[in-house]
Amino acid sequence: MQTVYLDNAATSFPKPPCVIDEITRCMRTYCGNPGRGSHALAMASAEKIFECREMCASFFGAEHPANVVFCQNATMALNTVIKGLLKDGDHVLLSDMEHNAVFRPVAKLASQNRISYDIFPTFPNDKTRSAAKICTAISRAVRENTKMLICTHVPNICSSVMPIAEIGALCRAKGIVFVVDAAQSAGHLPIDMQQMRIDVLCAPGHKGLLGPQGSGFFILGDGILPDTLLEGGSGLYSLESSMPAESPERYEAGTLSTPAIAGLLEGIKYVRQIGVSNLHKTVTELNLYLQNALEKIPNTELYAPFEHGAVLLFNKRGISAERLGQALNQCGFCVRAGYHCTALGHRTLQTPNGGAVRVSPSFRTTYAQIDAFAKAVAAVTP
Amino acid sequence: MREMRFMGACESDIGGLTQAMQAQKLLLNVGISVRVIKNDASDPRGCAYALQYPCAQEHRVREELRKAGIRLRGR
Repeated sequence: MQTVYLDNAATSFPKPPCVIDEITRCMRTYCGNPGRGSHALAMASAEKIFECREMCASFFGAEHPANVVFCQNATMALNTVIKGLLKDGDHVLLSDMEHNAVFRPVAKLASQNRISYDIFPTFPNDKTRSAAKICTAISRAVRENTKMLICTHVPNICSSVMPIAEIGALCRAKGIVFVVDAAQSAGHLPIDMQQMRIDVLCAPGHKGLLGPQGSGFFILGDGILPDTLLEGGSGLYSLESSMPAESPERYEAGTLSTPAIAGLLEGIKYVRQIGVSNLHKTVTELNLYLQNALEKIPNTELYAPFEHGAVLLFNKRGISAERLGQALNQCGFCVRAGYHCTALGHRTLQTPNGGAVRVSPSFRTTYAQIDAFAKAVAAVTP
Repeated sequence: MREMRFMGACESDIGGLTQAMQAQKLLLNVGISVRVIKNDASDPRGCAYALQYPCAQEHRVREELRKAGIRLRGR
């Protein structure tokens, strides 16, 4: 039985050969500890990491490579930014489609009575959703002490694109720090931090950017200086008791994963070579094709079906999402069932108890595989 | 700017490695060849990086880095 991987929203698979080759080359030939010495291999690793900072800065329209901070994943990036920027008494706004990587750190600070938060609607189930409608809802929720607004660019359970540029303009006008979770959009949609007025961009390397797991980053706008989440060795000013003031070293305590970052660099180069819009167009057309097929299958329910992109969420009435997912897995299809670590989003989309099944093809997925998948869904009975 | 002359080359402390590499790239783009070196003893805080470049280019190095907003450390 052939395995068909349709869980690229969780992590992209397989990785391009250039990514795998560079990780291997790094581990075989130059993997010294970056920033921890001046010998040839330490410097070779540091140069590769700097090259990736330059690539990220250029790819996402950041001011300087030094504003790019590497970490393990988007969750770590978001935790650093949320906990490092918010102070006691601050108010935060977050969208009703946020992942737990945003919701849980915010909820934890709120449970400690340090901050307060409100959730603004993004209307993914509404055919008439618009930037104006979302921005009006945000404006109503802004308080005098609103310090930060956090918004996913595209949620991980549907393909509704958030009006990032419009929200960015609103935040800039009101002096609110605008944090964007680009976990699902980095590598899928064009992002320009300066044009979109994004103050902090958080992203994983292992999804749309095609890098390995263990690669992630946040990019700070000029003048945005969070407190540190981790302290430790940075290779800089070792005789001091506190972390250096300089970004990115300030936020990168401990040894960075040079192989992961080297792989990420190749992943971004690959995405750039094929073109973000070409990649996105391919998966969007595949999902639209799948949606048309699923709509013809009795008892199939689709969520937020008005916008099309890299992700499709559905259920089959009378069968739990987990059972449906398991049945599809037995036919060779890797899809993710359940709540996808997105309690807020599932509440917003009103999925039933047990969540739903998410399909996320890649640009390598074929129409024949989508046909076979739809056939398998049709064959699953309660 | 702390300066040292070492075998015909000048050294200036810059601080972090990323900043040093950014400066190196920038100077290379305008035709100035610069080495990034570790210069722990020169900073009382320990572990810092410096740029090493031909002394004849000192004025241009300072000027290009000043234009880019990159600060050399020290006096």
